[in-house]
This record gives sequence, structure tokens and C-alpha cells, in this order.
Amino acid sequence: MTDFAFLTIAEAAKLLNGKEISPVEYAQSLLDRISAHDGAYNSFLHVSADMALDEARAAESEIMAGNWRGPLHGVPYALKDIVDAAGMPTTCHSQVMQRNSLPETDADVTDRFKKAGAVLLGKTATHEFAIGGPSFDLPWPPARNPWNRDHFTGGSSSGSGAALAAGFVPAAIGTDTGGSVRNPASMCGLVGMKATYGRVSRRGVFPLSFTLDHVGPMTRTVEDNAILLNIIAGHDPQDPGSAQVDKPDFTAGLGKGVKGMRIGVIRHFFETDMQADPEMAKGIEDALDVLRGLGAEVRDMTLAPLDHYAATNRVILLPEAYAIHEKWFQERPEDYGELARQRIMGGAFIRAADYVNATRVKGQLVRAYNEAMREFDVAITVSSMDPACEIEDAEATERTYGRQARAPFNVLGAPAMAVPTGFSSSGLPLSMQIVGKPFDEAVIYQVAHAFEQATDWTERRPPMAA
Amino acid sequence: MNDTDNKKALEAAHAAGLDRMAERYPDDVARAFAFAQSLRSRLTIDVAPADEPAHVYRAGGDS
Repeated sequence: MTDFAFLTIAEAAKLLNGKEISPVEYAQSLLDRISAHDGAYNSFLHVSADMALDEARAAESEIMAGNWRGPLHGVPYALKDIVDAAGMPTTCHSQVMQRNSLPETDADVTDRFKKAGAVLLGKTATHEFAIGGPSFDLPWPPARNPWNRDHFTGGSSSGSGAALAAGFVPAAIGTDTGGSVRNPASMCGLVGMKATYGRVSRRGVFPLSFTLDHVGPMTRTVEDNAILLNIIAGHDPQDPGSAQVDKPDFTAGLGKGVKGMRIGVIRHFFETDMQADPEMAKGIEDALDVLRGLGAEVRDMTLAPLDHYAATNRVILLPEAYAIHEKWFQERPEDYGELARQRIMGGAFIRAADYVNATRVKGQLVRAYNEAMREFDVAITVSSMDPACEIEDAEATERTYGRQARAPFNVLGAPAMAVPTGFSSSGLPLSMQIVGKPFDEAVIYQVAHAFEQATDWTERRPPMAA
Repeated sequence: MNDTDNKKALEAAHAAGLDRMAERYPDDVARAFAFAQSLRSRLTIDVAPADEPAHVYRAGGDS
């Protein structure tokens, strides 16, 4: 009997295409698992069982008729609840949106999943409007970490992280403005990619910051992540930030190894600019040893100080976010949770000149990064400085907001992926980031896959609470 | 935050049309204002007059 919970997309595709499993039994099995266990993790805000089973039955009919569409046909997935799916509420985990109507059209990414024949199980928890959380003063509770439900999932794509780690779905979509795909990936032992700005359309996704927002795939393995990016990447003329560039096969480099590859280490981000937790730092050192052992050339590289990027990210992000929320902030501030109010409101108090200058600094940083990366194929640095803290410790969760090195790659628009590197002594996931040159995601996948194949970190499963 | 800072924060909120926010959530206003001020001091600006904003990423790699 197939254990559907932790099938990878690649495994499921083979079984589905070979008619060895049914999309309906696959979807039903995961829906049953969600029903049995999600009360402990709060990963879903909305489960669309009937719609999912309709989509699964349609996939089954097509596959049985010999019309297999590809590796996502009949595969269940979930969307962070700031991404539109026609006929399903988009709440942004906020009371503000509860009064809004249902979206009538799909987001570009949802449309691409549908065309691939995937089966949408539902919408996942997020920090309010992808910024305010984890919060206990919203209409729904925050998602909890399946590795230890007393701990934070990271955010803001918190429910997508929890749902993947808990074996509720093999694929989920998150969004990332200062690290919100990579943070829950890091905290929940997952692979999360923030591809190059413009690689994945943002159309139909509730915005946080127009110039920093990215939509990204979250999975349990590197191969699955590359498969997912193959589906969701592509030019969208209706997204003004969408890039008109060739889309390679992101799985093409898998299995090719890293022999002779030049890997930079942005060590100052986690040793001097900020000090990472010793177990997190050791996880990265061990990973570098693995990559050296596989034949990569590894040496340190230097970028601008971490706080330079962090401040630039926030001075751009907050006014853009505030501009989106200003009317509601003026008219109905009580409909927001405390954290969203505090964080977004900062944008009201940033001077226009500071915002413009931050975007000028951004240009400088991009040029310097591209120059530095000429000597390397990819670079490695920390993602989160610490393993997941306790979710009900508000001071600790607030600290995690700044103790990270993900925001630089939103400022740069460059691709960056969180990859598991092991577990802390208390059993919580550790991680690193592999980052690359613009539009060079395929090389990141190649390196990450080589590392993953040489270790077993993505094969472990969390203990499940009832 | 001292009383003068809090007063400045509330004045800034009223100037931004956030009257209801300032009345109901003065502590949130104070925290947001303080964070915005701290960001300003952290932002390192060393750009030439002709350096333009980055806007969005361009396909060629340089912004």
C-alpha cells in the first residue's frame, strides 16, 4: 500500500503516469491526513475538498485515457492565502479581507498549476498580509512547526511550510519579499526557492512590495522544487515586472555534480556582521566540507555588510506596503492585528527622499553583486541565524525578523534557495542558502541536488501530533 | 521613547491622516515611528548624483 504523505512529486509522477496510483485516492488520502492532523498545526485556512476531488477525478479520466500532461498531473498542492484561485476566498489571513468578494480569476501561478493538471487542496496560513505574524489576535491561529508544535514555522509563508513538513502536500506556493519563502523552508526542513525577480509572475497575488515581491516554490526535495519552477516560471505580459527571458529546464543540471564548480562563501553575513547560532554555523561548515569533497572549489567572498541590505530592504518595502494599505489604515485600523499595524505603519513615516535613495542604493548593490559573482558559479551563506524559536515567545519571534540573511537577495533580485543542512541538538531543522547569478537558477539546483544526494537531510520526517 | 518622541509620533500620524489609528493605537504608532527613524539612521547612502533608482530588475542582469 502506498504511503501518500511523503511521496515526492517525482515519485508521484511516475506512479500516476504508470497508472499505479489514482489521483483521487492520492488527494483523498492527503485530505484525510489534513483532517486528522491539521488541528495541531493550523497550516490550512481553507480546505477545498470537493473542488479538489473534482479536479482529481478529471485528472484520473485524462490519465486513464492516456493523456498524461506532465509531472504535476494529478499531484496535490496548496497556495499561500494571498494567491488567488477563482471561486476560493483570498483572506491574506486578515479580518480586513473577510469583507471582500471571492476572486473571479486565477493568479498566473494558479493558472499554470491548473494547466499542468495539478489538484488544489486549499489555501494555507500566512502572516497577516505576508508581514504581520506570528499573531494570536487574528481570525485564525498561526501555523505551528511540525518538527515541534511549540516552535515557530518561520514566515510569512508559514502554512505552506507546515503543510509540506507535515506531509499534507508535496508542493506549495509561498511568496518572498524579505525572505518569506526561505524562512519557513529553513525552519521546517524544506527546500524553498526565491527565483530571480521577474522569473515568476506576481499577477493575482496580493502585493506587499511591488519591487521586492517574489512568488516561489516550496517542496521537500530539490528535484521537486526544480520541477515546480519549470511549471510556474515564464513571462506574463500582465505583470509589469515579468522578465522576457528564456526559460531553461531547471532539472537539466540535476545529477551532474559540482566537480570544478566555484562556490563563494559569504561568511561575513553570519560570522562578523551578525553571529549565527553555533549549530547553524556548523551545519554550513559541514555542508561546505561535503561540497569540497564532491570536487567544488570553495572560497570566501565579500559583499556589502548585511545591515546595509537589511536597511535598504525595509526602507523600500515599508513605504510600498503602506501605500497599498493607507486607506484601510486610515479608516479601519482595528481590523488589523497588532504586528501588521506596527510593521506596515512604519512606511507612513519614511521620507520620500529616503525611499528614492534606497532604490538608488539598490542599483549600486546589484552592480556590485553581479561584479563579485563573476568569479563564482554560486555562493553560500546562512538563511536564518537560529533554529526555530518558541512560537509563543513574542520577543524571540520578533528577534528572528532581523536575524537572517535573506533580505539581501530581495534587494538584489537575485535567485536564492534555502536548503536543509541537518538538525539541531533539540531536533529542529538547520539550513543554508545557495544563491546565484540573475536567471541562473538551474545552477543553484545543480549544486543543491549534489549536496542533497550526498546527505540524508531531506529524507527525515517529523513526529506527528494527533 | 520619551514623551517628546511620542508626541512627535502622534503628530506625524495625524499629518498622515491616521487620526483613528493615533487615537486607538498610540503605542503602535510610537513603535512604528521609532522603527522608521532607526531605519533612516541605518541606511547608508553613498551615491553619485547621476545614480538612478533601480526600479525593477531588467533581464540583462544590471539594473
